[in-house]
Amino acid sequence: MTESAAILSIVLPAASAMLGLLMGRDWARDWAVLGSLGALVAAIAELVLVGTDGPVTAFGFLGRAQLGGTTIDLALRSDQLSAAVAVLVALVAFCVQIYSTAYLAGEGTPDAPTRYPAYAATVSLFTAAMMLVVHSADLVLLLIGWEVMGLASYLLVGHHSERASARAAAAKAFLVTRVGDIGVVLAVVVLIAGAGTTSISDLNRAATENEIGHGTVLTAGLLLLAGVVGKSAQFPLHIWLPDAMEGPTPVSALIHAATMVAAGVFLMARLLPLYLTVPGALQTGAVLASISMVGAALAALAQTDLKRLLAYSTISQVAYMLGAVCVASDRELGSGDPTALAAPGVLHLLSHGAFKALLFLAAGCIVHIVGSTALADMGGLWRTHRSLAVLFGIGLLGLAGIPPFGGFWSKEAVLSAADEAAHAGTWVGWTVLVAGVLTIVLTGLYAGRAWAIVAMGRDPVLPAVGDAETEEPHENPHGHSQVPVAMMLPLYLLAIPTVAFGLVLLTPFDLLHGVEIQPGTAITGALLALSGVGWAVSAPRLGTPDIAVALPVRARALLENAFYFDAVIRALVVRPVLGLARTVQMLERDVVDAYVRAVRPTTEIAGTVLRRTQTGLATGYAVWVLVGAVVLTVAGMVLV
Amino acid sequence: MSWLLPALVLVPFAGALVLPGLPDRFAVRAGVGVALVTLALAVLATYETGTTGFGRMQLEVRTDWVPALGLQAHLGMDGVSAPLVLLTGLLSVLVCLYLTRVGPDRNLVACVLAVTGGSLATFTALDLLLFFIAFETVLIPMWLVIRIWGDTTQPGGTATRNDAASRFVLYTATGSALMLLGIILVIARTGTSDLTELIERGGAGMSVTTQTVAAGLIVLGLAVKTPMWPLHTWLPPAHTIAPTAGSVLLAGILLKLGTYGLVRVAVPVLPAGLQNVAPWLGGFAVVGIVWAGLACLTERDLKRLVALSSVAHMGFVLLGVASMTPTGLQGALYANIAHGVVSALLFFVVGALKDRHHSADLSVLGPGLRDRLPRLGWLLTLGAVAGLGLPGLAVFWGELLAIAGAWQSSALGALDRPYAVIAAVGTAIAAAYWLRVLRLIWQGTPPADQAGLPDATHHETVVVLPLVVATVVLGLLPGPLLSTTAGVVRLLLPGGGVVP
Repeated sequence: MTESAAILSIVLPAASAMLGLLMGRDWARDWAVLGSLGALVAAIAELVLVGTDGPVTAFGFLGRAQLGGTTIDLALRSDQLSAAVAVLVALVAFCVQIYSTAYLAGEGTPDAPTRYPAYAATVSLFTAAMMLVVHSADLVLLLIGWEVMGLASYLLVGHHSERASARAAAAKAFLVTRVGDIGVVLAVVVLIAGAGTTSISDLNRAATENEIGHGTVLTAGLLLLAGVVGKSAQFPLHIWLPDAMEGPTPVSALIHAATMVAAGVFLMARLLPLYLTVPGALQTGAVLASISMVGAALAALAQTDLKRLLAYSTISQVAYMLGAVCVASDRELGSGDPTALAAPGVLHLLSHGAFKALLFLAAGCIVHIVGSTALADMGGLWRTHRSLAVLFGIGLLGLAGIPPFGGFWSKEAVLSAADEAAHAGTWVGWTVLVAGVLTIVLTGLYAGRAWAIVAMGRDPVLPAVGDAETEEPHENPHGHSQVPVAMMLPLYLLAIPTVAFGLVLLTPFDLLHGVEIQPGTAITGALLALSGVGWAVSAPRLGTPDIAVALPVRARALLENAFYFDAVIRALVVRPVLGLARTVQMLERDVVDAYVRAVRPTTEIAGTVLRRTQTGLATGYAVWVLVGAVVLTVAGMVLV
Repeated sequence: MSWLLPALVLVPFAGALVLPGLPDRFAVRAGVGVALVTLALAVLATYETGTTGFGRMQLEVRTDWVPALGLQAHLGMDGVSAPLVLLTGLLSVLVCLYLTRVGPDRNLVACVLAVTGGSLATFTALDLLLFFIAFETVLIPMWLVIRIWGDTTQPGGTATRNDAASRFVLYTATGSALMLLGIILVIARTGTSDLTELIERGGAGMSVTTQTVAAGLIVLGLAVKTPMWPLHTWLPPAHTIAPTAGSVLLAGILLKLGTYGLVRVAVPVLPAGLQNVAPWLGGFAVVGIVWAGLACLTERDLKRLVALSSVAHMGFVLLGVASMTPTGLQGALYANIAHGVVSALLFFVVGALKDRHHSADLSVLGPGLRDRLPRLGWLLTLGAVAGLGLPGLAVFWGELLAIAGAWQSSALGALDRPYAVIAAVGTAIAAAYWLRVLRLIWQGTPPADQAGLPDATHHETVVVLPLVVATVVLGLLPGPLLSTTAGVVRLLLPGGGVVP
């Protein structure tokens, strides 16, 4: 039963993607919603069944691949981790599919077609791929889902491909993650060679029992970390995520906030027993997470675009999850089950998925009303659209970690874990703890700032019509006053877990048994978050809704451009590669091909020379025979 | 079942001889019939081989042909040849089917069948001389396809076409001459040209120096056909000029002859020699992967670009062979089939685009294919993402296994891991150039003057559909194809391919 539910959660969205594409526009909407609903039902059934019948370690899916002495079993597994994440994925996907029926309704204009069938099918394909990642029992099978997710992300970021910025962002998103994925491919290769298996449970067991060489595990761990950093948009491969906001907003909610970017953390949690044997890899991850956490929160503070603000916030929040997983090696192994050490990270993954999806979908409604994503165009939502403002506010409270909203519990669990590691006396624990506490204040600040600008400001400025080129052109540039019901319903649905997430901790299922929240840390954290929010929200009394104005101009520009890291990458990677490509093109034409073109003149010269040798004189021929004989003799002597 | 393999080889040849005497319309349909019979025979032969096991040579037939030369007509089939035979049969049917609507010509169909027959003979030949003769047979009809039906609208007109055709012939003929020298050396030293016997000996009776020289000559000859960097410069012009049918045959079947030869002849017959040549072969392979990828980043002509990307893909095949590990060889064979399927798909789609736009230049084909010609656009996208090695599609497995083989190879010596890393970086470059293509022609706002071009017809869709299915199935279910090669590669490698 558990097996069937897991397989259905993958197959149903995949089938609905195919049917939606093949059966045309009239049916696309039905298939998309049905497919995601089916996946949601299957995932919930799986979660219940796993709770009653226990986990299933491996069951066949795509057969076995026999290579050399290794057999890769492309099998699935189902346990509480996979089922819980699957429910989150299916829930957000279902909300997004309903939301999109209104968001991308109609045919659009010839300049900006909505392309709804292709869009809905790609979202379904993404859902199937993410489900595959969540359920994979084998790294190679996981890699298949991992990259198909990347493809879906590419297609959806570039969905409005008539915009040059969307085209560029799509290619950037795929290429940057692909660079990280070189690491995953090489990790698989290293494990095939060094461990003889790519099965996740075998790897975890073999690494814990020291059956695999330490070097192999460390190499594979670091290489996988590269893939994780790419997919989860962590420093230094985070540059693709803010640009990916060119995609339609529901896509940003599903892929670039709730699910795909968290897949990296999921992978680390899956392989945590293996990672625990190589603390070096976890320490590297913790440092990168700390940098991403603080850096992205600082960048979010000065963004002038609502979606980019949320994107930087995603980088920062995913860093919390990664940090929580990476301090695991410095914590005490309580119950003996190493996966329990990943619980704080997984908890934040789940709560973040709900409140960030809520925030993005609410942002989509706001964009729908205002007709622009720029913060400068927004304001006064509290007075014009009270219920939407409340929902947006719930999301922000969750993000800031104000009790009793979802983000509070999970964030304090993360901090408690870091605190425990820090008290064990390691620098890794301290790094994550300091970065985490600092980020709490920053998160409160930018969440409060978003609220102050969007909900409290007085006079929403209507955007000029000329802005339509850079903003989402399918929107009416003058905005709408009404939000369709199909766009509001998913918000209510997502607000429930955001508000009531704490209830999960009253009766935690086995997966979350490792979660401990220390009262001291929790109270400090909540107070810091509150002070941040309060500070930012009080800004309007000082005459401007935007607290970032208080920063010096230079500092603001630095933060808004995220420390100009993009320009650094462009100078260090993109330009050299393009230069190399041009050199190769030149060499291809003028050097490699030159010897071929030289054949004709050479042959002509040789012909002339040979004509001269054919003099008809016997002595001349005799010389050639002699030369030939010498060559043959030498060749024969060499070859014997 | 001893009639099966001779029939498989002779049916397309007989078709090629008879068809030019029939009227055009009938001849083209008859061509499809002949190709279908060939495919049926190929399926039957694969089934028969599979029931008794892909690990050993099956369905063997042996008769003296030219006793004075010791030349035997000796055919057989195992797990290495079976997938290639199936691929050849399938592509031959699709090309003939394609020709029923697009530019039907009985002589072109005859050439297609001749190429099919020659390739099938190469893939089943178990005599070194027969292998060489079959290998050469393919050359002439292919040259005719480029020379007669080639594109003359390129700058330079007929001169460019003739240059591409003669370059193809001269290049490959030079390679063949080198290979013949190597083959003669092997035969002279061992006194036999029987491949099964030579494989059993595994290089016994030849000194390491002899093996190295022979392996060098044979690898060089086959590398031209593969093609290996820097001997690849005949391929882009040949593809640019050749008609769609020719491009599909060239990429889907002809390029496989070279790599098949490496696996069938160079690896098992001259193991010690290839061991010495392997670091060089692997080096050229990975340079080719990166080089061709970078060249694709600036290429303007889509047909040339697909051709150059073939050089990169064949680089993975060569790397897998050079690793001389079971994993690497399996990867090479998988990549071979995957490239045959995906490049055939791409050339069909690019050919259809070129027919409509009368050019394959990226600036003419694009932008906005996804809105103008959605079906062709999605087919191109599928080909592109398959070409960049997306896991879940066919090409991925070959690349992964080739890299895995290189990583643990002892034949490559200290260069094993550097080669593996460079090849892995090559996969990211592949993503870069394919996304560039999609960005330039698939995405974007369609220009007003390109409106009204017809999308893929039913006929074109039917022709590429089997390739689409094969790309996805090979990507999601690698088990069957890998299991056909898993046993046999151990027999081909010295010492059963055990990695120390």
